[in-house]
Amino acid sequence: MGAYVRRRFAGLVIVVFVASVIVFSLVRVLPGDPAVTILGQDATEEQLEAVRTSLGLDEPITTQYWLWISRAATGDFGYSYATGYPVVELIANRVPATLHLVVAGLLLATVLGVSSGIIAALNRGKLVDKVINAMNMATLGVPSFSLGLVLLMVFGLSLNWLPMSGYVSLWDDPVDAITHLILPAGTLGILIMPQLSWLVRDGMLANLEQDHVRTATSMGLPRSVIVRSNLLRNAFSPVLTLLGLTTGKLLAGAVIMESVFSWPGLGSLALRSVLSDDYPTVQAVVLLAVVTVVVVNLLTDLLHAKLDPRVMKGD
Amino acid sequence: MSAGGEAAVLELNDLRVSYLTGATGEVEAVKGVSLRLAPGETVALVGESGSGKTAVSLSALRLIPDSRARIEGDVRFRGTDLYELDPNELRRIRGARMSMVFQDPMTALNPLVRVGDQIAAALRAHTSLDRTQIRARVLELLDLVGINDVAQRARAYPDALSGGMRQRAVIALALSCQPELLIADEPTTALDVTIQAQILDLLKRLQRELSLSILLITHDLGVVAEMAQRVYVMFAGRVVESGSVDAVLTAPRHPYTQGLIAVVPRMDRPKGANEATFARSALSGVAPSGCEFRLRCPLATAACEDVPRLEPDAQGQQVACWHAATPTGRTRSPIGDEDGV
Amino acid sequence: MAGTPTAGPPGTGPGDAAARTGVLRLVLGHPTGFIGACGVAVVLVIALFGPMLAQHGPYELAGDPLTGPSSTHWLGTDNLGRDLLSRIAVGLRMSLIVALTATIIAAVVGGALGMLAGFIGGRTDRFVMRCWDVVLAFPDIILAIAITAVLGSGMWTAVLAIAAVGMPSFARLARSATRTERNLDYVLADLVAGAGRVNILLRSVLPNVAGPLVLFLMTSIPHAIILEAGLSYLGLSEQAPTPSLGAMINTARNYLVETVWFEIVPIVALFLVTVSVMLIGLRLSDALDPARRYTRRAIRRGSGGTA
Repeated sequence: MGAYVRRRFAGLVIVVFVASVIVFSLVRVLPGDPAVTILGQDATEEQLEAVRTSLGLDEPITTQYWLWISRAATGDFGYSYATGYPVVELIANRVPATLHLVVAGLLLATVLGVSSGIIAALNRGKLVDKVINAMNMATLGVPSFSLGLVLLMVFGLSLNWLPMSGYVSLWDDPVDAITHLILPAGTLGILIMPQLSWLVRDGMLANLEQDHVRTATSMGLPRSVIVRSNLLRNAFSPVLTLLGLTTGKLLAGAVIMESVFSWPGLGSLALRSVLSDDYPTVQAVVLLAVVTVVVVNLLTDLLHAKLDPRVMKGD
Repeated sequence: MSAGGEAAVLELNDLRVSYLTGATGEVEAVKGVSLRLAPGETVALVGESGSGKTAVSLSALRLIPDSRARIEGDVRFRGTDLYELDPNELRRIRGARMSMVFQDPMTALNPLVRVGDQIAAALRAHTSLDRTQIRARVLELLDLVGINDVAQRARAYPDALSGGMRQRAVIALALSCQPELLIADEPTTALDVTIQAQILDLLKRLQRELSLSILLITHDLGVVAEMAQRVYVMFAGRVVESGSVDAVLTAPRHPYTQGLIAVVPRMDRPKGANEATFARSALSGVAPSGCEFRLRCPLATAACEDVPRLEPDAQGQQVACWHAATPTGRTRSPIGDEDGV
Repeated sequence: MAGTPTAGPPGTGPGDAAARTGVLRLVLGHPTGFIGACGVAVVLVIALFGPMLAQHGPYELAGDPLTGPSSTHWLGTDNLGRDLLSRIAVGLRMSLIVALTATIIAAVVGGALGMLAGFIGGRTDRFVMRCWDVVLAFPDIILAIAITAVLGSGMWTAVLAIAAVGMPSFARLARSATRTERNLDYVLADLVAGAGRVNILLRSVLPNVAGPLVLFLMTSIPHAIILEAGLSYLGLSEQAPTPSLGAMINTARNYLVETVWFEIVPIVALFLVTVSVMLIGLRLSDALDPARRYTRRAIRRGSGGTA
């Protein structure tokens, strides 16, 4: 286990390092002068020079990177060009909303995907299987924002069952929070669901062909036990890996859902920042997203290795 | 275990298995096999790959799904036709009264479940033991099949065990609920030679201690000689010869059996011409009609275009061949038995 | 566009099969493919001839804002009173152009890098593959936001972002196909005989890698269209006044209380494109590799496109 963890962790460090260099250079290769962006066109040369010094722009590029990344590691991403607030504060304010959305979306996707996958596998070739497959296919062909808008028009606008936008924290008012979550998290969940559903179905069916299922059958184990411990359990590891790989999709989907449902999260922060040239904020959000993706991937892989003793042997 | 001897533990009557291929196709893997296994007996079923011996063993436990094959004839376990049972009745026999050891121990166990837990699941399904008793029984079983360090091995995942150890664990699983009948399908083929001998010794010991009946599927005549009292030789879905192991191995009457014995490498004999002929002719395959062996048979004549029936001799040795050697070793004359050759 | 760290090579079979049977017959001969092809035909007719059918140009303030369908405006008007039919036509055209350009760039650049990595092997191979790991660590929309930070928003930003997201999958595919090919006897024989590496790559390897790449390209287009729509919805692609479906859908969101018509028209147009193109893609991958249809579909969409 130790060697495996070390190798995976080294991979993570490399990816994060390269990604951080890319994120850092995004702003360095920008045309124009950050000092001008901050102070506006009317600033005097002395004022500009002062800002440049405070930003470290007169240092060599490697020093600048080192300064930026070592500050970033302590949570200091500088000040937002647009608002003047520390970037970390802006982010901290937005994290809870995005977490609500992403966690609820993932939860819904898992419940829907796994249960529909099991149902499809147990009814292979029958109508239920085909209907589930068709629904999954349809979902994949539909852009998430337009799906979100259709749901919004139906359940928010016409039926008036659910609020059309806005975020309420679970800690403040759980019921209200959930009614606000249903549409955006539901759309996000539906977006992630098809792959899970297929993977569970195919995993269970592939295991059905395995010798160990025949052994279990020959030992007269009840069908429910075989489904649980030979089929589902063995289909679970790839699902876990997929969930890890889904993180990126979930975050990207969150950006869009936040825009559709006016959700005050990190995605809408990033979007607003990039459209208003607020580079420190963009850098911070992008880096945060990348780190989240690779860390979650590593964690799911480690969990996978723990659940499936073959992973490390074969690798 | 009844010592009556009359009620066969396992009895196959004219078993036919046709695998369904594609939309309408069928491949007849077993073409009418009858076989009997008395209590406490070890019977071997011998044949090359593709002879249908695995299909026989799987259908004896009704392990071939209905969607995969059409199965005719009957399979009786202690007089009960397994193909007339409902799923629950069948489940109560499988594992509890008859069980199976498969060829490849690497894939026979669920890689994600600890070895001990897999045995415990069988005990839970068939016995009313409580948790502590189950745990004790698992350790006892692992000890029985010659695994050291049982507590640790029970907690291990299959991948942590060597091939031989895994096959021992599979045997422990198969024997967990004290079955009367064990079907072992090439239990040693996937293992190293030294391990093979250990596993065979283990099966022999267990058979003695637990008065098991064993149906042993193998392609290896050495294994047959060591383990079995009686043997059935299969070729292309039919039994071509059967009888006591002593009789069949010392005085084989069917040319196929003779060929099989001739190709067993022996220290006391140089590589014979027989062997070369047999090996060369093995390439020419299975005849589509009549006696399936005739394309490879040195004795084949026009008579062989009809399928020979299995005929018993006075000693109970049975052979299906128009030109079968007489029990004393001489060849029955091809002319005279048949008209106009 | 799928980034698939776990996906294996689809093999070289599909490409050969496609060449033999004729892609067109394969698509049209099955309900899934046929419906998809009809949808694409409708889309193409609207995109090509829509402006001629419409009685007003896409930028012309031609009538009352937010009206429903009428004889002068077949699909109604937008918030500024512009004709929706001609705007949808131009929007569809933009969508298709951006998605196609980006996918082709992804296939060419990703395919070339993948072939090189697979052919040279060793350290180069590991380096190039590690680079894709980095790209894959960026969620697609986030990558687009990062690129926008440098280039500003616009059509080329969207093309670049969509291409970058798609590249790793093409590279992995080309790499594994190349590695298979590279170890075949005749390629080794060429190498031993001293044939130039570039020569071998172009003459022996490329023809065998091209098939799977083209197939994957076709199945990637719907993801590209979906991602393009998402980017234009977020305002990261074409800028006003150029019509784009995503931007129209975004604008219409603000007028939902007045009329849902303005919202529904571009959404339906978008569905029409994505669903039809996807049906064709599904048909192709199913027809060319039926045994693995479900699994492959599941894996390929593993970390697929968002939006």
